[in-house]
Amino acid sequence: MSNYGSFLHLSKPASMMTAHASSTPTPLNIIIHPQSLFSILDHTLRRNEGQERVIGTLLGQRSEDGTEIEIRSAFAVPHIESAAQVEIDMEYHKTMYNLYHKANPKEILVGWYATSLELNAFSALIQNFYSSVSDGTYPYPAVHLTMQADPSSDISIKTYISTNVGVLPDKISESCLFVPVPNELRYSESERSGLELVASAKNNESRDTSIISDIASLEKSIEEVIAMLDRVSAYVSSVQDGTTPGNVAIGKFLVANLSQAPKIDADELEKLFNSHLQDILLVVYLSNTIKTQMELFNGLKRTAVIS
Amino acid sequence: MAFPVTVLPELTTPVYSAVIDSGVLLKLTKHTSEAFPAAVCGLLLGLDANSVLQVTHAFPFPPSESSGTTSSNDDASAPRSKANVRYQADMIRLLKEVNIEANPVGYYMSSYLGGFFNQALVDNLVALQAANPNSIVLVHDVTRSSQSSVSLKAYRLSAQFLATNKASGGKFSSEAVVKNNLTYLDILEELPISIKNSHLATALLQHLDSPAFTRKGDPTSFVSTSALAPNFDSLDLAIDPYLEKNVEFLLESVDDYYAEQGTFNYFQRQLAREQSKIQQWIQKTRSENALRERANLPTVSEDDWQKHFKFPTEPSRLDNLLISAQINQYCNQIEEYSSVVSSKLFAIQNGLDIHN
Repeated sequence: MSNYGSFLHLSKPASMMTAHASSTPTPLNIIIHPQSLFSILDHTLRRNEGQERVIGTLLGQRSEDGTEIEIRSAFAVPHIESAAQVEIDMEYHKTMYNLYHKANPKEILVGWYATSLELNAFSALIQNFYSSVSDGTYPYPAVHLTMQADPSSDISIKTYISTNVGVLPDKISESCLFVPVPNELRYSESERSGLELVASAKNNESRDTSIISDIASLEKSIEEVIAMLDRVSAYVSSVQDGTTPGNVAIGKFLVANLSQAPKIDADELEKLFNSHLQDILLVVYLSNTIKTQMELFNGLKRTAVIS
Repeated sequence: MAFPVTVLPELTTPVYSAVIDSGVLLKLTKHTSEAFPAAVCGLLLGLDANSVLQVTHAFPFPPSESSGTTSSNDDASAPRSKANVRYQADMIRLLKEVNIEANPVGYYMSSYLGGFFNQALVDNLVALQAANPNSIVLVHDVTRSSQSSVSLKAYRLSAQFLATNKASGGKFSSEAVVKNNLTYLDILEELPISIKNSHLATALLQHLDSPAFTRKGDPTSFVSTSALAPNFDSLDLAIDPYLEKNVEFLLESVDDYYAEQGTFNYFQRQLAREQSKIQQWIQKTRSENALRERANLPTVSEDDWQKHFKFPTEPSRLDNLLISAQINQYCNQIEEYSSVVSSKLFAIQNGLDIHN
């Protein structure tokens, strides 16, 4: 993600590890599934009037060694925040978590989100609840995801884990050190087509799109490929003209890709092509015959009953 | 369902299309594809306004506790199972607290190669549409979505189907089916779907596509690493398995069809046999009556055959309709698919010809 390189990630010193829990490694990477981001945004839209930020629970999976955390879904938790105090409906969180867990047994509590980039004393308080021993992620650290969801500025996403800091014992519940952790967006193959469909509306003023048929999506893909080829060939000719300085790396990359085109004997291809096409035509013919038969039968049945 | 199903509410504002929130689409595809190949379903929440059904939220139903030992039929009827009705009520109560529309508008289900015409679907929809006539079912075909574009369809039971169901008391006699003009082609009616992003979702998508977001990967690689890099899955050439499976299922359905036809033929033979028996009885009574009249004995009414004989009950025509619809669905799928495949084949041939 964008914050790669924008900070240096150091794992916690050993002394802190022992203070926390000796055997739990800190997560080094957080993977976010787009679905959870959409849930968070939906929650932002449904916030009560005057509410500045909303919070909720993040669910997901932890890799076996605990170094990677996947955030797979999220749900909203009602809360009231004022200058002096914060009140979260913990009962709600617990009931909802139980219900969610029933439907997705594989997904466990990994942390919480808030829709403002600000980290304050309340954040620490909530963070400590989510990483607590009784209902939290203990012995693993809880992940805190902040998402800037203010329409006037760019959306940005940051993820943190926390460690206790040495302060007075009576202040321990409202203080903690948020350590930024890199995150990346990832999705499975089948989610990809869903996301792509959703994304196809992003430049559309009405913000909507419809589901396209297979043949239309094929057409779209081919058009995209052609556009890419045009772009590449325009680049190549501009290099040949000398208008653009050539780039060796790009050249090598193009040659490597071009050499992947298979060399097939024309007769061989013709044979393969024809047999394949015949298979398909046969199947289509079969299905059409069945379809006609069904329609015929349906008509006969009708007349039989009427007469 | 948890709603009173006794009274059919007035069809005040029928809806003609469905608008699905992008978040719902992602939630639904995630749930169905993760559970694949198991058939799963969940509830849709939303509003119907101005003849458009807005689906704004969805949540999955928990897998039935006995799953694994029982058939997938249990999961298919999930929206009506007792445990799920309770789950649904709990969930809706909680979602209401975070300002989510607490109004069920239907359910979603996953399907394998479009094989979703079954009794469970009909039962679910009958119950849902009795509670809310605008309810829909969203069918997500996981196999096709991993092939190319998302295959999501919105359906509800047609007016003819509901009328037939009501007229024949759920028995679907031939007479009721013909009288209500119900054919296998119009059991379900499809609603056009559109996907809508919220403003914030649009902002997020723009952000994901912006160069700032693109990861700085290997500098020698020119493969786009943007999160929304275009997907060329629909250019994939592995076409045979899909077609093969489709034909296999088609043939299975045809077998089912013949089995069902067999039951019906049996009924017809039974009926004919019974009818000839009645005819014989009437003949006999008539001649006996002639004798009795001569002997001045009371005669037996010819209509008394009803006391002695009973017509076999007609098997429900619903199975036949559903199987027919299923066959039709497979055929249409093959047709659609083959048009894509043959264009791909010709494209390859031309492409390689240029090289040679």
